Amino acid sequence: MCNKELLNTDVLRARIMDLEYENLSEREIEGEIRRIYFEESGKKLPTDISVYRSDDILEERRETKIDSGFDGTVIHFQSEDQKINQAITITRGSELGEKDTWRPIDWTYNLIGIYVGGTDNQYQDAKRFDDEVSRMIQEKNDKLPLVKYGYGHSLGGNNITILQMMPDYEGNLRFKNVYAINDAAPTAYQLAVIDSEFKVLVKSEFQLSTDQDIYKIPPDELKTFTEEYYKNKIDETTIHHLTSEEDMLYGASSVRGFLEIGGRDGFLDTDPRFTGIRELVDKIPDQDLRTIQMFLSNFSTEYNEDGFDGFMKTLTGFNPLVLDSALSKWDEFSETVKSIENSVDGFEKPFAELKDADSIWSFAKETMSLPFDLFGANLNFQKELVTGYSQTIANLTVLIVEAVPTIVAMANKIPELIRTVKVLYKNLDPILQALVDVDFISQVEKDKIISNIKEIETSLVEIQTTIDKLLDPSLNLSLSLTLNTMNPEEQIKGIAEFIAAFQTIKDEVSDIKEAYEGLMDVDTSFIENFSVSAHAHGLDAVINALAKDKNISYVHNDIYMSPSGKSEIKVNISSSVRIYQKGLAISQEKESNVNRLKALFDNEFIDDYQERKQKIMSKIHTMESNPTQYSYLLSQSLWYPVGGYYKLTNINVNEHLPPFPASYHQSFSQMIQTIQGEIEKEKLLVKKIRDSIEELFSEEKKISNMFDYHYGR
Amino acid sequence: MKKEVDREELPNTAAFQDEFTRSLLDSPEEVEEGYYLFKSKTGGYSMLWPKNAVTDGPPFYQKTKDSFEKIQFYDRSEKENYDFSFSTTYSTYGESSIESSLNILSSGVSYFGEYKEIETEKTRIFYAKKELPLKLSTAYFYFGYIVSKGNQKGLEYIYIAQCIDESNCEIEVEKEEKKALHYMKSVTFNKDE
Repeated sequence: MCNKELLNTDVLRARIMDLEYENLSEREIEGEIRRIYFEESGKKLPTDISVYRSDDILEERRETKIDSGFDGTVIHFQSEDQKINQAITITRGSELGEKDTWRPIDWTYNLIGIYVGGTDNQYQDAKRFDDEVSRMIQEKNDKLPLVKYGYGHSLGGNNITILQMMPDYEGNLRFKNVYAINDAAPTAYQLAVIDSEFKVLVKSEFQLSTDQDIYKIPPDELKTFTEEYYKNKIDETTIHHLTSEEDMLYGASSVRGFLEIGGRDGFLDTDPRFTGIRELVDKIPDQDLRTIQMFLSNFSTEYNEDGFDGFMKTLTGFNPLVLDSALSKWDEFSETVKSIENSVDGFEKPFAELKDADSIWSFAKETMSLPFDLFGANLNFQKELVTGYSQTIANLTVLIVEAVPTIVAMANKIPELIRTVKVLYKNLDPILQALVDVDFISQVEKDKIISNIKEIETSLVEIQTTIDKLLDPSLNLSLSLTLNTMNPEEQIKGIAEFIAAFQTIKDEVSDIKEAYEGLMDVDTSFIENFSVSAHAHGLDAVINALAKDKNISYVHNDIYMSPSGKSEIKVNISSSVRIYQKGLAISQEKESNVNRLKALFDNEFIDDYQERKQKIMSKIHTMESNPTQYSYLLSQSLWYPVGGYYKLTNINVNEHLPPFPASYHQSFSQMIQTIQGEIEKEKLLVKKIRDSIEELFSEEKKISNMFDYHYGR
Repeated sequence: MKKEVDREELPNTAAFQDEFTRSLLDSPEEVEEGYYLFKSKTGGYSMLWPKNAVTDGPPFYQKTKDSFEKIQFYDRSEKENYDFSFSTTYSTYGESSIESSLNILSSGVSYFGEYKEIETEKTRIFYAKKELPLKLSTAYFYFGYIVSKGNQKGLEYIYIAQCIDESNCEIEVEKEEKKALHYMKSVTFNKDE
């Protein structure tokens, strides 16, 4: 059958997917594909390969440089003889390997995107990229229809699955087959934002009155409805999932809303310690998950755009700038009071505790009621200070009024936040404990996480109490009462209370920040562990689990083999072949350089000498045979009058030309011989590597072929 | 309680009474009756915003710096038995990528037919419509992809009009289509700096 699927085993596909994480050049990818294909099938790849990268394709067509973080590659196989015209689209989320930076936060961010629905930009870029490349390929090869396949791992698996679920033409699927390994399943929330028709149907089915209400639909019902819709829309048997039992994503995906679309041929057991994660996630009550989901939908954009302050503002209503200006005014106020204190030095006034409202007031009252003339020369200065003091109070009042919206916003938002943190705290504990049990994180790390979250909760509760007190009209602190009172004592008292409250809020927020940083400081390598299990290494684990021959294993996409019956010996065949081929190539390059050197020597010395000799001889011959033509030479060497006395009748050249000195020749030949000898030795050495490996695997015919097949780099 | 005071100072429209939606709109002044002007913070485009339409925020609002913005907003009234919903997606892929832009639009509304080309002074609109029967009513989809003639900017525009309940449905298809076209024609793209 022509145009049959070229990459036709899971191992082959998984290994090709793994290339996506290696940041190779297009030529390197081509070489690696040829190598992997040969290692797995024992046959040469019978086609040409073209590689297209999303960065190049999309940047050309886009006005701005900013991309969505989407990364993808299309590999096109074609051969007219073999009647093959196939393209493989591999999608990768932005999460890993983006120019060597590895930030778990991005990974989390994307996963949140899938969970709550914010991934449109990446979906659109993936689709544009795939469209553009398909068009480019079809323009170039129109003889055979193009057959397309989609590959995706982890978050890329989510992307490729959605591409398949959103066809451009009725009944015409984008890919003949989609292979998703350890993928993040799509969610109904994600699809509702991408697919307008689906959203209208969901709204109608569940009688939603707002967009947000989708989060209120019982997840099981939403899941059933969504799966039914897409199963009618596309042929789900074109989507193939391959999942490791211990995969964190799979563990997490029993959470509400993740869809099951497509077939799954059982599970790969790559690490027996992990079976418990999904069971634990299953136990989280639905109501709690909804709380977390709503919380995350806020989190997803704010943190990335504005950092911690922006995040805090969105979540709590806290605006650091507003409180800061009130607080710094208060400091100024304290300074003024201090100056007055200094100016009345010697009167021993009670200034023990400036921040205490009562003492400030008693001080102020006394200062103002003091008979100023008592100070004599200090009088004017004193007046000035007191004026400044009143002014400061007026300013403070203004600032506090300005801070009021912040306080109100916090009062509205914080209770909800506290509820979320409580839910998070309650559910995190058993999950973290499970991770401790499987040695993913240490007890110390777990305790750190828990204590930091507890700290955040405590601080939030403290803020709430403070604000409640501030806004409680039954207490005489009531806003308008305090700020508009004509009684200066009440006014200062009120301001001081406000300032104290602001200080508390500020301190608590900085505690939260500290706890949050503490959370970030927790050795996050355990997150890498998840992602490691879900990403590059994850693919490695998948590839190894897929290997049917127990004498074969893989590390970093290199194939390792063990001689039969000696499974403790593992030889990196890929690397050995590279050493052999590279070594041989280097020797050959040296050889050809030596040959060039020899040719140069012959050309520049031996041939050149002969040529020059030849030129002289022919000149001599010309002169001897035509002496009269050289008569003018006489006029150049002898004096003679006009009319002339002499005539040239004969020329006889007496010249001896010695042969090229042999010593030159000999030392050069010796040098060349020595070099050639060295090269021979090198060649023997690399051949010996090959021989010994072939001997070790004497029963494997494939090995010998591998050494001979040049996949090119 | 203070918030109530704040709210009273703002227009009594759903758009300005909703905190998130308000944060997207610059001015409570109506540019034509019943509509505010939405000036995108991407700096790339402006469009009309019905005064009673709101967006529920992320993920129904998504933005990537100045290169991408998707907004889903709606104006719904149970009392008046209508639900108008909008989905706009801005990107910096222009006319040269129109084919893939239309592919994205087609997938998003499950429409696999032709698009009619409409030209305005500064934009080109690729427009189509469809109907979708629902449990209790019918949804009328009017959608298009609008590209700027001057630069590589484009906006996907989907407008869906439906009655909440088929009985007493006062939606007139001609009127809705006219509205949809007006929305799309009112989209303006900013010049490159």
